[in-house]
Amino acid sequence: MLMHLYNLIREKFDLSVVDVSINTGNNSLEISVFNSLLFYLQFHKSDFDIYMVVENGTISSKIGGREIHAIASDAALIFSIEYIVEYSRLRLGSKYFDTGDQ
Amino acid sequence: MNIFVIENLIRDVFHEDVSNIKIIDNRIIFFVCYGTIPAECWLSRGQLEVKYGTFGALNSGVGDLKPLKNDYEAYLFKYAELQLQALKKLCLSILPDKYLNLYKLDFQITSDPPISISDESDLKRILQETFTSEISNISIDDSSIYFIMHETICFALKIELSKIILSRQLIRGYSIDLLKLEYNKEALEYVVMFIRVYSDAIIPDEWLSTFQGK
Repeated sequence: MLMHLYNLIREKFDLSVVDVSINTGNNSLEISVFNSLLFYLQFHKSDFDIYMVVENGTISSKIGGREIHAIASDAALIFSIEYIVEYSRLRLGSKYFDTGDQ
Repeated sequence: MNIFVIENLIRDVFHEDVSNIKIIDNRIIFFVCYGTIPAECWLSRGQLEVKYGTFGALNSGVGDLKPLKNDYEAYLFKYAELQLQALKKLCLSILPDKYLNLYKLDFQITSDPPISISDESDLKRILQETFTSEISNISIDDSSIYFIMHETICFALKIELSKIILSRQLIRGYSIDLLKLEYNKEALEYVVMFIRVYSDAIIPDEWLSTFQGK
């Protein structure tokens, strides 16, 4: 299932927006958005949580004031990734996209 | 080209936008824009590698560049310069103008303190009551209070001897002191106000309006 989620992200999102790698040791995906913000998708038996890495390197379950927990379906995964992409876009700010080479 | 050449190059590229440059184990560690973004660079077979730390990750710098000249030493130097210029541009694009402008104003805080602090034991409660939904992950460890503002900005507040010290907590255990004041009631009030102004400045307006209704 983890590989399926990995392939789905690879298929649906441009690499410059979302990059993903598998950590089979702890059954998780490491998701980098705009090569800046870092998230972990922790896969359980049939569901997943997404955590965000904060500035000191620890993780936070709050992303935009909510916790991201969902049944592991294609639709839920895509919705969740789109959410963290939009979150990242807001967190980086328009200046980042207007003035950088991103 | 050696690491000391790179140290000088960093100063030339960043000017006033770099601080706390240190060389440790053939790596240069430095902070960009008032200690806001930590960065590391080192030479690998003469070529400069750069990483910078934001949002909890140490990201790579700019991508590989093609050799520009037959003179390999000149190429390596030019490559290093381009890497550092790209890093500077990236750091400046990540930080909102309101944050950079605030630093130029030396954080002049003119509004009245909204709270009264009676003693240090109240601090955690006061932080929670003052910042409500803006603050999270508050913990006390080793006589410091650690907390996160706006979900991503990590602070530590420590009262040590007669000083109160506010610092930003960054990736790999890096931290940078933001305030160090004689500890008294007024200092605590100033620190609380500073946290609010600093946090609101470093976060883009679009994030604040979407998630904090500001």
